[in-house]
Amino acid sequence: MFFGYTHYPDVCPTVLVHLAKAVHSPTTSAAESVVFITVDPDRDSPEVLKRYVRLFDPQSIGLTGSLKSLEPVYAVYHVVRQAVPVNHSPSDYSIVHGTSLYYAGRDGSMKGFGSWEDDTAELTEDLKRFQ
Amino acid sequence: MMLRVLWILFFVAGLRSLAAAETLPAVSVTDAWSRPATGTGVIYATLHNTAAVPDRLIGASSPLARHIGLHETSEMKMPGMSSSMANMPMPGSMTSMKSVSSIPVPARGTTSLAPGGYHLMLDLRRDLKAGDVVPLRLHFARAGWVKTSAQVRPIR
Repeated sequence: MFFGYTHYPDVCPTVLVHLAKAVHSPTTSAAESVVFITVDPDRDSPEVLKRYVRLFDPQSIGLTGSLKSLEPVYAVYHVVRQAVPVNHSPSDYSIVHGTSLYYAGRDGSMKGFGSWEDDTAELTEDLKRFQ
Repeated sequence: MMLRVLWILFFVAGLRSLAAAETLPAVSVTDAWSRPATGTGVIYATLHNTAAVPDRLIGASSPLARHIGLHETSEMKMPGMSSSMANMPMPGSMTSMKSVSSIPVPARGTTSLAPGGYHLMLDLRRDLKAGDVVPLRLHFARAGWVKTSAQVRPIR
């Protein structure tokens, strides 16, 4: 599980590419799926998010909602987020956000954490370790 | 007399700019690539400068993008922010992207635009899929416009 937003072309896709490769690695069980939760609900509508996560893996899940409904989720997972204006335009902003990866069981129990800098091999190892 | 001095000055200035044109830095772009994308795209590449003077990437354009921004990702390790969850220590790190006015290319050196660092952010006119080619023009402060194209690499 990973928090990010679709208007971030660098780190979020990099992580999602490695996660897609790790989840579909022949050495991991087929039970894992990638869950991507937006930190930018204003721009990431369900349609936008669906098209985005399916670029990386048709089986991955994108979650969005109102900011009010997402804030308790951010709090539970200790996700810090802060919108920062870009080019002094109110519609143009980037979001500073936490970059931890969360390995959770189907029941939601937390198994471990990873970093956005982990490559496919490291993520594959973690998936095996935490499954 | 005054006019004559001015003409001489113009002449000298002209010669100087001719000399400058001969020593214009040679900047080239290799390994430009991108990923399948919808809405917002990215370009990574390697910028080479063979000149004895530094140059700067100051802009870019593509027929496939409404706008291209120069960006830099920075990561902040925040030891103070580290917390724990389910009795396990959680890494405290944040990522942010900032808009930059230029990307330096050192004299006789290279600059890599790569994941987690400098990159170009594209406001796409259409989705990019694996195998697509993105035509690009990169604008350098000294070398001027340099043409290249980015390959859209498959995800897996």
